Amino acid sequence: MGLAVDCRKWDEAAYRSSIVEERESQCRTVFRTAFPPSPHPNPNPDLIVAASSDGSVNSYSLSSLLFSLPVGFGNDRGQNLLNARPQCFLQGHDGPAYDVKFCGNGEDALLLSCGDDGRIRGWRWKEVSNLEGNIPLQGGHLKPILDLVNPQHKGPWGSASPIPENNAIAVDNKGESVFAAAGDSCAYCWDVEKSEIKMVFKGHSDYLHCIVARNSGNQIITGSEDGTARIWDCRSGKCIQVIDPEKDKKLKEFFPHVSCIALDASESWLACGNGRTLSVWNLPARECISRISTRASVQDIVFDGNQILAVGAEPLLSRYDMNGVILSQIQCAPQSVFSISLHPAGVTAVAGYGGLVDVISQFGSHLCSFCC
Amino acid sequence: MEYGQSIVDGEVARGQIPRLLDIVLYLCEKEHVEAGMIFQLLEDLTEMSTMRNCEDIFGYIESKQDILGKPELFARGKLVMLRTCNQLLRRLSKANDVVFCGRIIMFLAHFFPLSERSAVNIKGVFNTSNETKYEKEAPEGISIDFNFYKTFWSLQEHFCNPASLTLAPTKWQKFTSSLTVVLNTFEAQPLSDEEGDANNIEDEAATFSIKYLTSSKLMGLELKDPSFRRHVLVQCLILFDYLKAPGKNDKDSPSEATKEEIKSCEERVKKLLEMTPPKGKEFLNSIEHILERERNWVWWKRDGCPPFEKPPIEKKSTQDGVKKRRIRWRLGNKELSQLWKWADQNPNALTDPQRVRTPAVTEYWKPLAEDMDVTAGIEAEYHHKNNRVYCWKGLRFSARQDLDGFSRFTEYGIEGVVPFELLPLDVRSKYQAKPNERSKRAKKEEIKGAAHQAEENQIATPASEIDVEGGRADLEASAAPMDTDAAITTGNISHGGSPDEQQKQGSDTDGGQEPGQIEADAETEAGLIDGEADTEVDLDAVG
Repeated sequence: MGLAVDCRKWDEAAYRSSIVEERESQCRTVFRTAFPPSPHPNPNPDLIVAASSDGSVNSYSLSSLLFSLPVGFGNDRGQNLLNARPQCFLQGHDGPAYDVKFCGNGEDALLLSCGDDGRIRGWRWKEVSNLEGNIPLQGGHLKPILDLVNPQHKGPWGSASPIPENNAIAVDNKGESVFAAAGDSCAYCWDVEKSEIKMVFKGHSDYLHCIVARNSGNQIITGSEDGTARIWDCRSGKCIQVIDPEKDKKLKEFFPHVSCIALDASESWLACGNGRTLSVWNLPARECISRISTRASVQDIVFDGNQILAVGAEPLLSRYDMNGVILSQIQCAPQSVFSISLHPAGVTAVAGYGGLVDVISQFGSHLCSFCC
Repeated sequence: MEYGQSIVDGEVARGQIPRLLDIVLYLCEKEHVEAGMIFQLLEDLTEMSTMRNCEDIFGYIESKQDILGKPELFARGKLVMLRTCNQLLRRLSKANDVVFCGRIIMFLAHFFPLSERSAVNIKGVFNTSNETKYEKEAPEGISIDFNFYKTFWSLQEHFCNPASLTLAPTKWQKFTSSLTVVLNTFEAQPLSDEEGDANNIEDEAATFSIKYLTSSKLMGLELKDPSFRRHVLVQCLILFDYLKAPGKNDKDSPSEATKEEIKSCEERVKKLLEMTPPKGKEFLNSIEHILERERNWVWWKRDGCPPFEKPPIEKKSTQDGVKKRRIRWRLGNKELSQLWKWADQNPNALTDPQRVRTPAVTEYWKPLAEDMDVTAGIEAEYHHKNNRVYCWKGLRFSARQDLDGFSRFTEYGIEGVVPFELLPLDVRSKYQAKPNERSKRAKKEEIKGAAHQAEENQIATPASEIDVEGGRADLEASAAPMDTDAAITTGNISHGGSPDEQQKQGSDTDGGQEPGQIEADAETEAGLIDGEADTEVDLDAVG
């Protein structure tokens, strides 16, 4: 247990809270990891930011984690995993933090996070990373420079709906707008400078899971619980196209929702995960190119060149080519994986159940696995 | 001194030395001088020559390999030759004179027998100086999984000196955990056919290097190279083979748990080899074959390098034994096999005038007919009808050639079968009576006849009995019950033929036969009694 019980000054409340804390840490889930932007693409990523179910947005230093590991430890899976101390600790949200993104580059980069409390918060990454060396918990007092709250819907007699949660955020490449996929089946476009809503995208019939920005066409693509993905025009706020991956299928799956979407670098290919299928779409042609069946439901996807990395409700990181052929499957630490993030150097981080983050090197070996 | 002078003349001299060598070689070969001289000469020559000239001298040695290899010369000079070659190898640069080095090694391999002890590395010593160096410190600013890099290359240390693994269990544990990591990584990233092809072409393009470079920057590329993977995996297989090989004593051999580990690792490695793209399965098969041969070599060395030639005597006896057995088994036994082959070996047998043919019935029965002639006065003892084999053969002939005569057997016994033309007229008439009348009469006289038989028909009855018994014996021996046999047995039904035969006969004939025979006998007796009464009595007394 590691709890030192001193019975001379017995404090039952403290003991209780310590137990609760430990339980919570065991059932924590990391919903998203992100590598901070680095000026040089080549060096190994050192820092990684993780948004987890206790609302914290922490950054971890891989090199110090590796340093504290015994030699060869990072390669052995399933052994007693390192309980990592964060480099920097931010208490981002009340309730789980669902997404974390970086906005902008270099000095001005913002660390954005969103969560169950319907807020989007932003910190200056420079300030966050400069907290290095301080006592980690101090970061919790760092004031966000951006704090956006989703609007409440007005009901009759002046009643207001609860604040809808933000399930995902996306950033345009100019750093001007932040797009949020909210729980009221709307997507919002926020102006970062003015901290106000520029556009509301209405049309989905159920809450949104995911959102990506398609910068080349000034569009966004959203995926929703209603089983469709929609492409929106940011200027007009109109829906341009409805992508229904389930349309061709006779029998609807048990969970038809679109859980994750990803765009490739050229922004002409869209990967869309819904239930236990992964469909690849060519956006200019508006055609579904391939449909991949997976064993477990897909929970996150990302393009790596012309290959697709996908994770889901199984401890596997799968790599597919565009035609849906499995290229490799790497065992990873979390039993169910919610997030996958790719560093330009080829390092992949997967995160999920148990607060586990598994960093996989470009060789396919486990660089290190740690528990938040 | 003519030759001596020309040697001094630079240019020509080089052409002369081979001739001189030829002369010495000839003298050695013909045993005019000591046989070791040519070898000594060649050694001295190489020692005093520059490397370039050595190449010429070695060319000469190569060209005379056949003569130098003759037993009488080889025995005298093999050690000198080995020394010469090793000296040459030592002088040559391993990097620059690869071709010449290769020539020398090839020559040694051809010149010395396979079991030459100096070449077999009898103790199986490993070349531990072949050390693979790799970076110990992570380089700055390069993104790699340095732990993996170190884990991967640290394997080489064990491949280089497998013996160290068996000594320390901690080393073995370290090795297996490292290997598991590497295999996991390989398994997680199978190489596609395209990658295999792409990298293979690169490999073929004369970029062959003795060792892979260990720079950490290359790690990512190397992991994508199927031939690199193959090298590592084959190294594993070689190591496992070494570990599995039984040691000199029991305590050297690995424990059961270790064996299990080796086995599971080996299976994984083989599976990976099979998966690795260009023709993985074929590659694995070839490697397995090669390793099998290597294992044989290890066993051979372990048995003290026994000579490959088997002593000839032993060889012959085993071969003969095999041959005999094989022929015996082909057709049951040697005789049958020879019979089977007979036709093939004697193709002219059918047209041979000397060939033994089936005799004509008339010819065959002549001796019996002569016996039957009362005037000849043949004693019963020597009568041909007592010769069972003769009678039986005759019946077979008659059955084929003279069916009419054969059919008379049922009535008249063996004597009835004899063709009439052989018999004197008086005897002949006896066998031409009407059968039907006789059979009717016979019934009445049955009992009397039987009594008669006992007393007087000594000649006929015993004969028929014997005959019948003989026939039966033959019947039992022969595979198919033929007419002849049945006919023979008919006479013996009352003496206990098998029930089958009785049924076959039918009751009509059953009734008719024996009495007929008895009567015939009786009648014969009537004719014979005069002359032979004395003998019969004698026989009786004897019987």
